[in-house]
Amino acid sequence: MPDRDPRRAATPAGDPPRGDAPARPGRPGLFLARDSYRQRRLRDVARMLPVCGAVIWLIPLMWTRTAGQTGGMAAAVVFVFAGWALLIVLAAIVSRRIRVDAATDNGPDADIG
Amino acid sequence: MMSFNALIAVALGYVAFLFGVAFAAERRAARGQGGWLHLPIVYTLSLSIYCTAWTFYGAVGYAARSGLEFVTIYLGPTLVMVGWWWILRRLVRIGRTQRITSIADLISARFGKSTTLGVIVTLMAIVAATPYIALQLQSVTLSFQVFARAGGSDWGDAELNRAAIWIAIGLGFFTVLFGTRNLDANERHHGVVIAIAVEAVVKLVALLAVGIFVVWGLSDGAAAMLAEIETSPIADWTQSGSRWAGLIFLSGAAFLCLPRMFQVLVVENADERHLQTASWAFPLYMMLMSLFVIPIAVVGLRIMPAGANPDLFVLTLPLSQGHEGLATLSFLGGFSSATSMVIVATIALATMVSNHIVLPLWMRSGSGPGAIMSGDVRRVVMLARRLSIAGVLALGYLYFRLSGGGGALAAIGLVSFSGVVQVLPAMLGGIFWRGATRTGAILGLTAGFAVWVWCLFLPSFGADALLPASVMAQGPFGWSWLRPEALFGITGVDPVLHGLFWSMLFNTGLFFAGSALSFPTPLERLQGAQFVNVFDYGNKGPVWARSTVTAEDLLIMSQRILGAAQAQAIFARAAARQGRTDSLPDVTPAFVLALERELSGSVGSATAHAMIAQVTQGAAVTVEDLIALADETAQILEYSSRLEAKSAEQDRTARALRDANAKLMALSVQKDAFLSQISHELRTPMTSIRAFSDILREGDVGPTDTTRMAGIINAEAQRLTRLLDDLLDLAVLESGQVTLHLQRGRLGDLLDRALGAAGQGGTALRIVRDPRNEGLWLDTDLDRLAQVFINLVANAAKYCDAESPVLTIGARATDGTCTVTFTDNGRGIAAPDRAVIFEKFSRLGDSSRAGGAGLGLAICKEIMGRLGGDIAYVPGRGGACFHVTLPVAARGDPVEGRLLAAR
Repeated sequence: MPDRDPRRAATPAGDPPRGDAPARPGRPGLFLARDSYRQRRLRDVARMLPVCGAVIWLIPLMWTRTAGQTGGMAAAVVFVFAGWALLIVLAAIVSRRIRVDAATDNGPDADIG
Repeated sequence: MMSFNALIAVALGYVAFLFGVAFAAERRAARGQGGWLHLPIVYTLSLSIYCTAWTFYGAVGYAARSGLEFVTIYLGPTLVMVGWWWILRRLVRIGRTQRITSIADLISARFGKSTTLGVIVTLMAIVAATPYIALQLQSVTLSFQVFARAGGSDWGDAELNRAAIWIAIGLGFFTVLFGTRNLDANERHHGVVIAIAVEAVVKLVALLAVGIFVVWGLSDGAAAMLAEIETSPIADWTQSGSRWAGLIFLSGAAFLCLPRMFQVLVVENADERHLQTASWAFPLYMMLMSLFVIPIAVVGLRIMPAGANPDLFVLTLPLSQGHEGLATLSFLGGFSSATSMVIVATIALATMVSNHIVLPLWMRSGSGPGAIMSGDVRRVVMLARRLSIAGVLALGYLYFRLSGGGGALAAIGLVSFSGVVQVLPAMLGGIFWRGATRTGAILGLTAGFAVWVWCLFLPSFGADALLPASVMAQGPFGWSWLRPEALFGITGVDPVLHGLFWSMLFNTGLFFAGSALSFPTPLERLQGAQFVNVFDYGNKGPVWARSTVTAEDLLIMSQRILGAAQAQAIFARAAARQGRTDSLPDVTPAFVLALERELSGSVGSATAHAMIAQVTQGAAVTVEDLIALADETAQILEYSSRLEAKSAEQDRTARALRDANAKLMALSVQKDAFLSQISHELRTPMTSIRAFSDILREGDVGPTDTTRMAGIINAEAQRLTRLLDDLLDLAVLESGQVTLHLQRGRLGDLLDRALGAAGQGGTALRIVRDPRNEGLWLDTDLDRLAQVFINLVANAAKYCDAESPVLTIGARATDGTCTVTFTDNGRGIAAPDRAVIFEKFSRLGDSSRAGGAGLGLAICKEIMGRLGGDIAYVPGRGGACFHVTLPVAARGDPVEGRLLAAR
C-alpha cells in the first residue's frame, strides 16, 4: 500500500487536480476541472441557442385574435426584434468565451476528459 | 433634377471603384500583405450575399403585402448562425479537411466521390438559381427604369432588355476577371470577397439611411412610427402559423444549401474561428437590414400613390421627396445587393459545372487512360469555368426575357429556395449519419427535385405558361390526385408549403429508405466515416495502394491542373517533408492522398479521384484501410488481436511449462538412475573391498595375492574417494563458499598441463592444437580452469565414438572475451540430451563406460560461472563441441592482452 496523503484524505473529492485553472481562493478543492467543465456547459448553451430562438419566435403565433379584429402588429414587431437582439447578445457572449478546440471535443455528450 | 446620364456615370464610377478594390486586394494578397483580408469581419460581411436585391427591394414589398412575414427569411438563417456549433462548424471543418469546392462536391465526395451525384446536384442548383439570377437582373433594370421615369423618359421593354443585357455582360466580365484568376478554389477569391464586403457595407448603409430618413424625416420618431404601424393597412394582415414556421425552416435550410452561401460560408472560409464572430455578427447584420423594412413599407403605403410598386419603395420614397442623393445611395445599395449575389452565385455554379459536368465529360471523351497525359487540363478547366459563367448569366437573362419581368420578387425567391433545399437531407444525412448511401441520396434528390418541379417550379411561370390551366385545375390526364397544388387531393394548403412539404417528404423518405436498404461501396464507407467523424479522425484518408507510378508522372499531371509553379511548389514541399534534397518526393500512399486533396481543391473530389486512379492505375481502397477506419470493426479487431496476443502468450507460457516439466521428468528419471547408479558405484567397490579384506583377514593367502588384493582394495578406495571428492566439490561450488586463487598464466601452458593431467599419452585420442592462438594471458584461477579443461578432454576420450578419435582445441580472443573450443569428431550429443548435460547427476547413455558419477560437466558449469565466464554446448559442429568463454585480462592491461594475443 502506498502512503496515504493526509491532505487528500481531507478533501471531499479524491481525484488529484488536473491542471485546470486554480480553484477560487476560499473554496479549495470544491470543484475540480472547473474550466473544462465550464467549456462543456458553454457548448451546451451554444447548442441550445437555436432552440431558444425557435421558441421565442413561435410565441407570437399563440397570440390569438378574435375574428375580424386587427392590430397588434407593433407589439409583434417589437417582440420579434427584441428577441432577435437578445439572441444576438447571447450568441456574442457564448462565442467570445467558447474555445474551438478539436482536441477536447469528444462529441455531443462527452462529459469526460 | 439629376439626369439619367449622371446616374449612369455614378453607377459606372462605383463599378470602377469595385474593380479597383478587387485589384488592390488581389495584388496585396499576391504580395502576402493581405492580413486584413482574413479578418473575421470580412468573412461576416461576405456572408451578406444572402441579402440580395430580394432583401433590399423585395422585403419592403413583401412587408407591404404580408406584414411581418418577410422577417422569416432572416430568422431561419439567424437560427442556423447562432446554432453554428451544430452544423456550420462541422461543415466548415469537413470543407477544409476534404478541400471541398462546392455543395455538389460535398455531396459527391461524401457518397463515394460519385460523378452522378455531382451532376444531379449541379443541375438542380442551376435550375433553382436561374430564376434567382433573373430576379437580380430584373431588380437592377427596374431601378434604372425608376430613374429614367423620374428623368422624364419612359422605358419600354426594349430599353429594359438592353439594360439587362449590359448588366449581365458587365457582371460576367467582373466575375471572369476575379473569379477565375486561380484554379485552386481553396486559395480563395480575395478580390471578389473584398468587393463583396465593400458592397455589404454599402447596402447596409443605404438601407439604414433610407430607414432613418423615413422614421425621423417622414414620420415623427420611433414611438410615432409604432403608432403608425398599428393603424396602417398591413396591421390587418393575419399571419398563418404554418407559413410562419414553414418559412423559418425553409430559409434556414436554404441558407445552408444555396450554392453561393456554401461558397462564402465554407469554401471561402479562411479560418474556422471566423465562424465564431459571424455567429452573432451576421444575425446582427440581418437584423439591421430588416429593422426599417416595416417602417418603409408603412410610410410608403401612406405617401406613395395607390398602385405604386411596393417592391421599389426604397428607391421611390426618397425620390418622391426630392432627396436625389439618398435615392442614388439607395440605388447603389440595390445595385450592390444584386451584383454581389450574381457574382458569387455564378462563381459557385461555374465551379460546379466545370468540375462535375465538363471535366467528367472531357475525361470520358478522351481515348482511354491516356487522356490525362495529353492535353492541358488547366486550360480546359479555366475555359469551362469562363464559359459556365457566361452560360449561367445567359440562362438568367433568358429567364428574365421569358418571364417578362413579371411576378412579385418574393414569390420567385421562395420557389427558388424550395428547389435548393432538396439538397438538405442528403447533406445533413451525409455529415451526421454514417449509414447514408449513394443510392439513398440519388433516390431522395431526384424524387424531391421532381416533386418540386411539378408542384412549384412549373406553376411559377403562371397559368398557361408551361402548364396548361386545365392541368392545374384537374391534374394531368384528368388525374386529380396529381394536381400540382393539391397532391393526393389535399387542397387548401398554401402552394409553397404544399410543394415544400411533399418534396421534402418524398426526398427524406426515399433517402432514408434507399440508404437503409442498400449497401455502400468501400469508398463510400470510408468517406462516410471521415465526414461523420471529422472531429475525431483529423486529416486521414483512404490510402492509395502502392503502385508503379513515378513522381514524374504525377508531377506532369499536376502541372496540367495546377500550373507549373504551384505543382512544383507542392512537390518540393512534400520532398522536403520527406527529408529529400531533390524536389521529387517518394510516391508514398500518404503523398498520393495529399496530392489528391490538392487536386480536388481545383477540380473537385470526383474528378481528382478519377485522375489519380487513371495515373496510378490502382484500386484506391485496401481492406486494411476499411478495417482501420470503420471504427467498430477496428475495435472488435483490436480486441480480438489483443486476445490473440494474450492467448499466444499463454501458449508460450504453457510451452515453457511443458518444457520445464519434461526437463524435470527427465532429471527425476536420471536422478533415480543416478541413485541406483551411485549405490551401484558405491556398492561395487565396497563389495570388492569387503570381500578382499575378509580374505586378507583370514590370513591364508600368499604374499603375491596379498599384494594384488591390497592393490585392488586401494584402487577401489581411491575410486570411492574420487566420487566423494566430486560430490563435495560440487556442493562447495554451489554453495558459493569456494575461494578463487587468481593467477596469471598463458593459455597454452594451461592446456599443456590439462592434457598431461588427463593422462592422454596412452589413449588413441589425437589432439589437434594451434599454438599460434594460445599465446593468450589469462588472469583467473588457473587450477580451476585446468579442472574444466581436464574434464572436457577426459570426456572426449571417454565418449568420442569415432574410429580414430580427434579432439581439436581452438582459441580466439574477441572484445575482451576469450573463447576456447573443444571439438571432437564423434557423433555429438543428441538434441534431447543437450538440455540436461550440465545438470547434476546427468549422464548420457550407458553409464558403464563413464566411470564417473555424471558430475563433471555440472562442476565445469559451476566453475565457469564463478570465473565470470561460461561453458556451452554448440550443436552442429560435426561432433561434440564445447565453448568455454571467459573474460580475458579482466583486471590486467587490455593493450598488453591484445598485443600478446596478436603475437
